[in-house]
Amino acid sequence: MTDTFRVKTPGVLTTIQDLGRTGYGQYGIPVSGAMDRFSLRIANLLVGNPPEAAGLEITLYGLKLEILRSVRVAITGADMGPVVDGSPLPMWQTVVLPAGSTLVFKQIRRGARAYLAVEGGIDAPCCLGSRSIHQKALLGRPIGKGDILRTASVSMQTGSRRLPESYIPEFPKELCIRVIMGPQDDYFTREGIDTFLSEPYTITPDSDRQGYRLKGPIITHRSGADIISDAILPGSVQVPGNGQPIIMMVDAQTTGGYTKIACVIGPDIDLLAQLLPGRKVRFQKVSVQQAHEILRQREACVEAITHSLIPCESVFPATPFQP
Amino acid sequence: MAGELAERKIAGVLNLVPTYRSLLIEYDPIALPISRLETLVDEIEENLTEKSPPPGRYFELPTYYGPPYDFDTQRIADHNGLTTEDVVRIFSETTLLVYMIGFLAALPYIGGLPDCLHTPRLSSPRLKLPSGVVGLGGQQVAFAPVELPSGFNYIGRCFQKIYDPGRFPPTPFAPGDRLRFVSVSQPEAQAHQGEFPKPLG
Repeated sequence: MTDTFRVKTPGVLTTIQDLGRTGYGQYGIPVSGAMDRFSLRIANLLVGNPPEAAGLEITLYGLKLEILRSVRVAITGADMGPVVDGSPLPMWQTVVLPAGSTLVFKQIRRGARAYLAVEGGIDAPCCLGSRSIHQKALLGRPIGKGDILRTASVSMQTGSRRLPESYIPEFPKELCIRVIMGPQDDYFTREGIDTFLSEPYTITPDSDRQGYRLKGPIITHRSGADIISDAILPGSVQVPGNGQPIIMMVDAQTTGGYTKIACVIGPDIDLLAQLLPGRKVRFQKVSVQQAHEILRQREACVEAITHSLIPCESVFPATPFQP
Repeated sequence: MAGELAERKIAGVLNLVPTYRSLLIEYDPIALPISRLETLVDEIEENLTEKSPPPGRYFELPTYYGPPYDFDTQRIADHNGLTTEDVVRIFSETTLLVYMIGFLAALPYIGGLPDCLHTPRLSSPRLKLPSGVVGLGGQQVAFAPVELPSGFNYIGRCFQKIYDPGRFPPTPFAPGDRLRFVSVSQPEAQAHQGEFPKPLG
């Protein structure tokens, strides 16, 4: 392992994430991992890492990293106007950051979370099958000022590549999120279900990696909003007694006692991950079969991407600096 | 059902979460089509014998019931017409049952509280409680694996470590285990600080 980055400022929230720890629900361990798994997978692909390698999830803006050794990286996800020593850095492609330079994520322009993958992956303790940070579950902490981030020193087998533009997600400001109804949709009135499936809901500032609290027209229950504690998954839409839905996200607790009206399908959690508070979502009902078909299309898309990356120049800045 | 499914190590089954009311089966629909999973579940269900679950293990947890951890002992006593000594005696002599593990950081969901201790939750939760505190709300018992906000009525603290993400499994407890929060002095409780509890049987 080699020292690769020094954190000059950690920004709003920067955490090490991979594809999470699946299979520990029965032990009360949240899944965690990248909120937008598609973007992390593509970033890893661009630097020749396996999909489950750990990278950085950068929220909003403000991360500043000193580059300690020349290293190949790829930045995907939200556009935060990344610059290296003042020059804009292209996203969705392999780039080489020179030793001694400084990488800054200045401001959020589109989306909410950016991903930085480094060849070899970011080193962090692997606990219960993952390097993902979940501070409340005592699984690490967000990165802080002065931290040194280490990576395996590997040299890439493949050349530098970029993602064809047509595959770059758009991250719209309003989204229609697809859901499978249930498992407790029978606890709601017909009007409650209609409201949920027709009205827009705004993401409130009280939203994080654990859950998004939404605000909008009240979803009415038949009788109570409470059930005896039941399993929760990322995507579960809980509706407590106040009739305002909460979408559980990747850091969600594994059990909870509110009625779940629906569950967001996996690929759409990635889209939700890129929405800031203040943005609106609507919910659209799909069948289990449709959800599986959407997932198959998503996986086929990732597979197609692996075969359609375009070789590119990776030296950065592209034109050498002339004094 | 969860046990059977886990034992068969079915490719495509990712996560099993048994709770009070249901079993969550998380699966990869590409590796394991839902029709095949449904057939498997039906088949297992048909062959499930009425064998009682494994008896579970028994833990004695050294617990200190004095200040400053007796936050709500008086409230429980007042609600149930008991003295605070009664509350501690009855609670510490009761063998409780772990129903499931969940929430964050392997929180055990514990029941088996005698009726005479049932006490409503606080109307406004406390924002921060130390790990290891023991309390009750309604008919449930809380035993905090990490620092937590909580609306339960707290009466004592056990200093043993009941959550360690560096271990597998990260919790000493499993559904079906029996627990008793044995009353000890503060020094004795603290002597066990950081120990991972071991079952007595």
